[in-house]
Amino acid sequence: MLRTLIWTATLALTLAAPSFGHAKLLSSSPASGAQVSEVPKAITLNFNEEAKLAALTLLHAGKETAVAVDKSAPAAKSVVVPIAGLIPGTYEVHWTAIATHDGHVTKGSFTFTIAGTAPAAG
Amino acid sequence: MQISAWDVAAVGIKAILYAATLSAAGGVFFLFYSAALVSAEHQRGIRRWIGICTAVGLAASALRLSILAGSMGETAASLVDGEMMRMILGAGEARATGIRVAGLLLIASLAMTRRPSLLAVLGAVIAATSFAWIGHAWAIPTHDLSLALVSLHLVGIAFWLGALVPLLIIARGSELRLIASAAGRFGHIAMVIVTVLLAAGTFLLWLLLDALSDLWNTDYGRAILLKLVLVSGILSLAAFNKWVLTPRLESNQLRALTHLRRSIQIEMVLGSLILIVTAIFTTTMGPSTLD
Repeated sequence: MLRTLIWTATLALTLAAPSFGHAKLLSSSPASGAQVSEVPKAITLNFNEEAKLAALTLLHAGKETAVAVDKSAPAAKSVVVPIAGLIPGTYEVHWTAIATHDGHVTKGSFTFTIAGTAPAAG
Repeated sequence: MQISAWDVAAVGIKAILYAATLSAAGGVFFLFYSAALVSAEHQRGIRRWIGICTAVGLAASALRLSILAGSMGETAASLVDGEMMRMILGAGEARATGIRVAGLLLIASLAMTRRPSLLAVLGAVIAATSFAWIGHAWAIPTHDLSLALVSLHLVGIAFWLGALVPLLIIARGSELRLIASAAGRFGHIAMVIVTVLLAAGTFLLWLLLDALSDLWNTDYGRAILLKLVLVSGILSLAAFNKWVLTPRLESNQLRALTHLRRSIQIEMVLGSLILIVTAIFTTTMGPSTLD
């Protein structure tokens, strides 16, 4: 009896394919490493599962800017964060998200470049 | 993988929370099964220790929420960011923390009774298993099974690591036969509990890892391997205490007492390292099955 139970449990577990896990960034827009000619009006993050975006910062020319994110937004696989005032140059995007079912926090970063010449300072 | 000071703080508070909660729970278990073998003075010392651990567990539960918020926002202002905290609570932390606080409050009822009541033991089980209600094992599809396995694993860890300080308190005494009796009873029950703990841990690994090679091919697996090395060390010391030192104490060999104290202190260091390693891989990494 016990042996049957163990084998049944083992078989059930072996067949049970994982259906969810940690929030992992699958893709983004602008894409990681992309060079874009048009100034993006938003950054889109596509996760492998529903997640909540907790923070997003942009690093450009040694200056870090925190972008406002809607923390009360429902969890989603795709999160769109409006941004404004970007100028040509390379940007490092740092994001922090939380998986809503297990509370695990994941962090990541990627870069993209806006082609063109940055306006002269002053 | 970049580790910031915020991540270190998040890992640190989790390790403190593990240590305080599991020590409080394990202290209650210890008093429950060996009260008759422990002098009134030593019982007072153990109760005081359980009280301190319970208070630290409650404080760390609250502080962890703030530190997690700080770690997510990576700014000092995030430490008191209500929206960030709501986000964390909504992702399972409210469930786990609520269960833990309820368990710790039941443990605190120990202060009102002369003998550890079943209520305090129930609180110890609830507090120790609260960590199973969030995290990697909770995230896998077969989470009813993994919840049961993590709970068994946690009760086993509380029983084992939570007995170390009480044993050290007793080992400060001079009545060798009484010390041998308490150590002997712990060792006797530990045989069963540790077997369950190891079996549950092994089954969990099987659920969480895609392949055995994940143990050396992934950061998560390597952290688990490090934990297993530390567990082997503490297991060896426990076996030495049970099969070598306890019989020597029973035959009134005074030197064995010095060795027992030293051995328990080393077990405490190894136990702390196990909790720190566990806090690291449950906070900053994930198993491949969850990718």
